[in-house]
Amino acid sequence: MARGTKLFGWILISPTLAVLLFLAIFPFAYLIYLSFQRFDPFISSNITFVGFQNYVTLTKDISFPIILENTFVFLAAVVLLVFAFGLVLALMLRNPFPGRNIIIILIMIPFMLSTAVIGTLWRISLQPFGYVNYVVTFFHIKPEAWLDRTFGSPTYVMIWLIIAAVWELTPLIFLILFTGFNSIPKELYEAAQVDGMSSFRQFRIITFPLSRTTIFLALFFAFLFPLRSFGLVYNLTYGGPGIYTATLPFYIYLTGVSFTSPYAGYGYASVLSILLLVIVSVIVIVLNLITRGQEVSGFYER
Amino acid sequence: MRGRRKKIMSVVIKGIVLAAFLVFFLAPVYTLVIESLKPESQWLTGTLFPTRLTLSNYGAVLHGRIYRQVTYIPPIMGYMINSLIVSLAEMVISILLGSLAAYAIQRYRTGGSFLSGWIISMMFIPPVGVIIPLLIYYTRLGLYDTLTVLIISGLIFTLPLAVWIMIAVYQGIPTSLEEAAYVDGFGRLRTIFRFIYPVALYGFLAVGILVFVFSWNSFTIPLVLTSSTSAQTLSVYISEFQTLYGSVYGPEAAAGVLMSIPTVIFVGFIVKYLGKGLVSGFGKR
Repeated sequence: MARGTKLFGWILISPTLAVLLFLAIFPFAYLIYLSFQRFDPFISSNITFVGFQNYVTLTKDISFPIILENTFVFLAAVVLLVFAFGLVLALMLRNPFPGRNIIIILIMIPFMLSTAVIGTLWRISLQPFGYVNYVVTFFHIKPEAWLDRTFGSPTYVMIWLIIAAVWELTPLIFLILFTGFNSIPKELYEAAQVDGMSSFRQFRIITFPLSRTTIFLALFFAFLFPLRSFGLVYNLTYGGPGIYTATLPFYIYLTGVSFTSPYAGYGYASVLSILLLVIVSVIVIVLNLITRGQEVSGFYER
Repeated sequence: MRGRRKKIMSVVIKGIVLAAFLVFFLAPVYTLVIESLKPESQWLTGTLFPTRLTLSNYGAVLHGRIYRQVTYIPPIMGYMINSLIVSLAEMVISILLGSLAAYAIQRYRTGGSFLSGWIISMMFIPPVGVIIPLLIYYTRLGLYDTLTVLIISGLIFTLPLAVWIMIAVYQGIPTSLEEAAYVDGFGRLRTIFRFIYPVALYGFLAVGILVFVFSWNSFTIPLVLTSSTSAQTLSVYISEFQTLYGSVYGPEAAAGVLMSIPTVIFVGFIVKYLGKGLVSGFGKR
């Protein structure tokens, strides 16, 4: 390639790089700097160097293990459920039938809503006299004030938080898997049917190998979107009861923005932010490594 | 005979599972709409089929109203305009910058798969993770609580998204187009604007709508970086029902419905383009 073309490419990409460097690399560098300082704007505007003290706080903070546990329970449950639901829906809606497109559109509606609105509609559904309490009585479950932030059961509130997150994220995972499955040539399935292959075998031999890239993409979103879901916690449970549904993103908010956690301050909040970004990076890198090996043999590369 | 029976059974099971999923996904949406139409006396009754419907909650949200003598619900209009300005500005910037960057990545392989992978992964950074440095920095610059910072900061998600989808769009445009233009003596930049952009127009539309939807719905950034009605957006307005106003469910639901209409009307469009753009942009970058 001519040198001029190469330069031209960099010129085209440079505005985007500048914006993303400003929004991602600069904050990350600043986070590392802040994590070694004491900076508590409500006490004084001075920034003082404190070495590794903020990192030591991590081991002293008795809420931190709870937060970490919440985060991983939430993440694991959401990934599992979202992927299972998305897969079932994508497989069921793969073949056209009357009314399929309307069903797809209806399923996608939750994805179009803001987390603020999702918080609202689940809070209305789960209020003591909401329809959820009608439904659960059919399953012999006692109606409750599910989201009660003072007397509520941490387990129940976490379960509802997970359900709301699954409700929010399943449509996207479904759409990705559905698109991937639909790009597989129909003739392959016709041939398999002629051979009398069972539908499970068809999935194992045709669908799965030919949509590996799609499945990894869906995994990307399934793993990383729950780690972004600060808004859902904020609008649905506000971390309550106590801090038993507070995930890491929400705890960063309590520590560094609303200053309502015991170790509030920009320094400690920076340590928590770095931890969150490290978790995200590790997931991205691991998934990327797995995908890279697959991509060459993947369907879309052919 | 047995084969037919088995087939009917599988259709019935499929129908039941699909119906269950539809109820799961739509019941909360229905609740939201019905709550927004209930008179104040029925807000907490949770009935799904109220006997009397009213538009008074929408009136309250549109004009502002005082409930229980102390709870003032401000009018929604200012917030809606803020949301609109931010979303439209982000849409224009994302299309402009994203289309150029994606062109370089798709046609010239600028920066290789590492750079394109890096740009796309930026989309997965949780906004909360970078919000504290941005908050401090913007405050020092005197930009805290302005629409400008919302527009700039939102790009951390929408710009990678735009690049990602545009890569898929350019894949569908044959390179013979450029070759013909070069032969006719057009420069590289003019070729993009004169020949590539008109063909990629539907792609711009797709990216524009996607960016609009995501930006309209964004919550974390406006929540943290704004504090007054001059810059707060719709999602912040709705979240304040929970944190400031208590259970004023009717107007809260009405605000939720009003906020959701501009995005839900694009749902058919999203079904058509988001999956396709994400899947092929990811596979072949």
